Amino acid sequence: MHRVQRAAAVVIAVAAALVAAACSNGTISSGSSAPAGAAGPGCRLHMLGEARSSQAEASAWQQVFADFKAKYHCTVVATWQGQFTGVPQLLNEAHLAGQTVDIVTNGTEIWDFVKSGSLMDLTKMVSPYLSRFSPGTVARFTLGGHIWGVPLSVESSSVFFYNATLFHKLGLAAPQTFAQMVHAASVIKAKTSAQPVVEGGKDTWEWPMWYMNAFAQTSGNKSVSDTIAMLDGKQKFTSPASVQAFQDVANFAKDGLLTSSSLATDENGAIAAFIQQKAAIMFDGTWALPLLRAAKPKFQIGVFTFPLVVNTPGVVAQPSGAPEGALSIPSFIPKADLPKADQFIEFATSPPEAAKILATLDPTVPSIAAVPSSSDPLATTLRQNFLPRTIGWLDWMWPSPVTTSVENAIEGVLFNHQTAMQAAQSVQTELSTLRQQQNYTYDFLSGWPKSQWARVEPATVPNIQITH
Amino acid sequence: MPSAAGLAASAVRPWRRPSGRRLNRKLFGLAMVAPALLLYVVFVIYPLFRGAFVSLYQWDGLSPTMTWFGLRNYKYALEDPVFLLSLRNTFQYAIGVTIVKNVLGLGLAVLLNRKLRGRAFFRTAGFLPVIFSFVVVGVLWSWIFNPTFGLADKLLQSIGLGSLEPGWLSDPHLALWSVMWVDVWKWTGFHMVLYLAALQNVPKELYEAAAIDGAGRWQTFRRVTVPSIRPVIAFSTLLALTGAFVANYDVVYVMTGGGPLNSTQVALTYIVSTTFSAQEVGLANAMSMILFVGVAIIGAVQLAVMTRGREPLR
Amino acid sequence: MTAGSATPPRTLTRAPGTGPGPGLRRRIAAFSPGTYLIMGVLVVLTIYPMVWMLLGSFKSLGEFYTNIWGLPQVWRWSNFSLAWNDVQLGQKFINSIIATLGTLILTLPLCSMAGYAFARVDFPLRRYIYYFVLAGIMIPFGVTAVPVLTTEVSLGLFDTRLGLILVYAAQNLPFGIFLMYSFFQSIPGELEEAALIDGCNRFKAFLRIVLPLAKPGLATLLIFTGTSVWNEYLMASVLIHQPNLETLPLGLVNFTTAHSTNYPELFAALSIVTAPVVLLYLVAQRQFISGLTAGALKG
Repeated sequence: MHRVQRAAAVVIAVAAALVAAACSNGTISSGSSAPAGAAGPGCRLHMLGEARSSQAEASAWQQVFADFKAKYHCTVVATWQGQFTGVPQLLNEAHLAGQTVDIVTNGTEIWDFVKSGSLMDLTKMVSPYLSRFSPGTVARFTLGGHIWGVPLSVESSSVFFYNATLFHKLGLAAPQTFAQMVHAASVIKAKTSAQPVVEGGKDTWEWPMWYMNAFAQTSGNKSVSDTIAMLDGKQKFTSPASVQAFQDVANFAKDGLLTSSSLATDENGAIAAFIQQKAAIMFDGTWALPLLRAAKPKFQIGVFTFPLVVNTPGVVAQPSGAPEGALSIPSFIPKADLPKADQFIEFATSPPEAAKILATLDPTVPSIAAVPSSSDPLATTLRQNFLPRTIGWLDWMWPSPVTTSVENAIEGVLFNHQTAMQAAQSVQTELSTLRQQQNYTYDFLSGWPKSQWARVEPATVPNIQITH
Repeated sequence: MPSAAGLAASAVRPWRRPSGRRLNRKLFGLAMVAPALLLYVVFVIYPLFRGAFVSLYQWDGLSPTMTWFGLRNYKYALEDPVFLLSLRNTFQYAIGVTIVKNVLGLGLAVLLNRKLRGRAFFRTAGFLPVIFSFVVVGVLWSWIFNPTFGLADKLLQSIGLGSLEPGWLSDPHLALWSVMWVDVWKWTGFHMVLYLAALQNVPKELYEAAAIDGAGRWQTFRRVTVPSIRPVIAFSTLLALTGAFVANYDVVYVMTGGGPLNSTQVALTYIVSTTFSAQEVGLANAMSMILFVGVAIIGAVQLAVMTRGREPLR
Repeated sequence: MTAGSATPPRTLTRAPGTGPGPGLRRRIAAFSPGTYLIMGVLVVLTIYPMVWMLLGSFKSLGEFYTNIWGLPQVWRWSNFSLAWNDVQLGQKFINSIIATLGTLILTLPLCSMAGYAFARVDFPLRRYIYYFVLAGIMIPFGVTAVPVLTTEVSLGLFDTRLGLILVYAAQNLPFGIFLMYSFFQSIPGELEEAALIDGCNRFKAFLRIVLPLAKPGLATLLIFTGTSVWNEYLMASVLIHQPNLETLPLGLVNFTTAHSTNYPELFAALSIVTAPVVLLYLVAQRQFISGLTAGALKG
């Protein structure tokens, strides 16, 4: 009796699945496999990347592939799988298994990719059309003077979103200095039941953004070069400017703006709190704007940059940011595929084609200058006030263990009674350990032998057409 | 009709044919085990050895070359305060969760063992969380513990303890307990069912004898019930213990990711982040080896202690 | 009945498992409402989360952010079809079913055979081989992920259904053998002995006499192995790259992008994914319960 029941349940499940499979047609995580016997001359490119952010984006890519096939008679097959953090692993597994990958997406993992010799040096291949990219976006994917990826994404930066309607009601203006922000927080706490600032701290990768913003100011707007010096061993995380940066972050909790509830709130939770007006200010990145709009808040959203924490004249607030995605070519690409892969990258980043993809991302600042940007009312503010001052993400440069220790240090200094010096020291210790145990060097490129370079440089630079 | 003595005897030693066809028996035994053994060796043991091999090198998992490190990874692992903390957390997690799951499971089983209306329904309901994936469980409880919207805080408010506002997942002293609670919530139903079945098989004669001797409920429990189900307790404890050491990655990862401040970092989450985030595969494998050896020792000890007086393999 | 009990066993006048005698029954018949209260709390604690997830499947993302715990204001059935289509749940459903069934087809026979041999047959190195296999329960499988990949590549099994099934089966063997071994120990040996005297060979005796008695144990193994394979993510993500071979857990991950999780669609997908598991459990549970009993009693 039970056997029959069980068998029946299995049969029903399988039958239902078969019927439904026959009716489904989605593509976010599927490959856009061409039907058998399609490409005439047999030209086929394989692309690897993380799952697309939406059905619309996946369809846009399909469109670009179709356009490429029409013009260059080459089929592009894409595998979209998993999250962006898993792409290096995916690429490595494909390599180990002897699979072909001609184009790979990357973003924050660019350093890991380059360091392991997995990417081709694109400098010479990209130079003919370099001018089409928005200022500063290619720099994020340039290491040691060589370009390793071309940005096809939305430039982002860290930002404070605030409830403009509430601020107006309370007679507050968007704060520009830390003191003004503390004042705003005290008014919010006195007159409403909302918390002043919420942060998705459970997503620990957000915490270093606080340090980056503070350090950009305390270092006299030299945080990028200072970081290089720190990683080279010429400066320390315990330098006065760096310690001061930790202290400035600590003050957000000390002066009552942040509470430890942020430690248990992830990005979604922070957005929910902000939307429901349980928090008046939310720290996040510009990528959150479409999410906020989708939640249809009942108030006006405003933005302001990290407030000034120093008094030094001439020093400005500098948010960190970068385009979230780029296209690269793996170093183990079959030599015969290189010209077409090179052409595809040029094609996909050309304004008419890139526009198709970026339109689905509602881009505040597209990485390709000629692509129209979002019509969101805040997009103009962001483009004009934020992006010109944006510098690179420091955590792209830091080795992962250092990033993790900065995350812990920030949490410690905010909520666990660590002093700024202790926090800075813990990061410096991690860096020293890394150098001593794992022979870490920042400038690994200068230590590369000729044979290594030969693996990542194209033997001949292909001739490609520039799409207009 | 098999006699009681015969039943007992045959359950005590492996069945042997008296006619002495030893070779036939040996071949049969080996043949029954061989296919499983083959699969096991190829896909579990061999990769384990390769993983152990890699633990002697430095490798980022991506480059074609590895650097020889000897035992340095082991040294670094044992010197790493976060790894040691993760081991301590794992230990606390495993011991705590094992005890609570078994105590609660046994307690609930005792309650259910009476003639209750709807016992089958309660038993089914209690078991359901066991079959959910940890993604569901982890996401759900993360929202319950959410400091702004969570049901947990709302519940406290409704009974007047709202001012407590414990940082369920944000307080480094509390977070691990919250995660342990979720594991308990998911698995207690399993242990409850296990113990319930065991309790139902305790011969009533033993209870009757105890009643005649005038034993109270607690005494009956201690002197009759517990010894009768001792093998089940050992089995259930071993399952809970090993699971808590080598299978708790998902719940911790989904709920806290190891934070805040490494207070919920368990060995598995730290190993995974060392592999994929810090990109030190050799080091991560060394940590895995250390964990494996530790768990094997603990498991062996636990099994030996709880089944003392009986041959573990009969 | 057990060697370790302190009280000498009395002669059985009733088969075990029929519950306490009349005297005891009177004593415990007066259960307290407290018991019902505790049970009630238990049920709420276990059922409510499922209800919450199901309710969440019907909300829009915006509504999810504003109305986390309540009933949906608008019942968006479209979430289910969206979830189904966006990640091709149908195809992944089939792949998961194939992976699970395939693993079970391998695991159940292999574990029964090995468990029986360990419990009943004296062969050389039996004890050591058993401990060797038992140690597999303690292996944290992350450490074997990449080596398994390279092994599969060299066997030509990478990115194939068979490759995944073989690895799943291998990883579930230690626990399965442990379970079946415990179970077989509780079955009396008289029946096989009688069959062998009658001229049956060993394997036939195993197949015809013992295995039918082992159905509860097999049901237990089926549920454990089935649910573990159904929900397994790590090995699948390492060994499967082709999109049309992906299993359900791989598909579920795609609802979480870099910055947000589309909870309503994720919950819709999870509801779809969890339903067959619940169904299977409800159907097989009686076998499962008695399987747990018998297997565990004799340790």
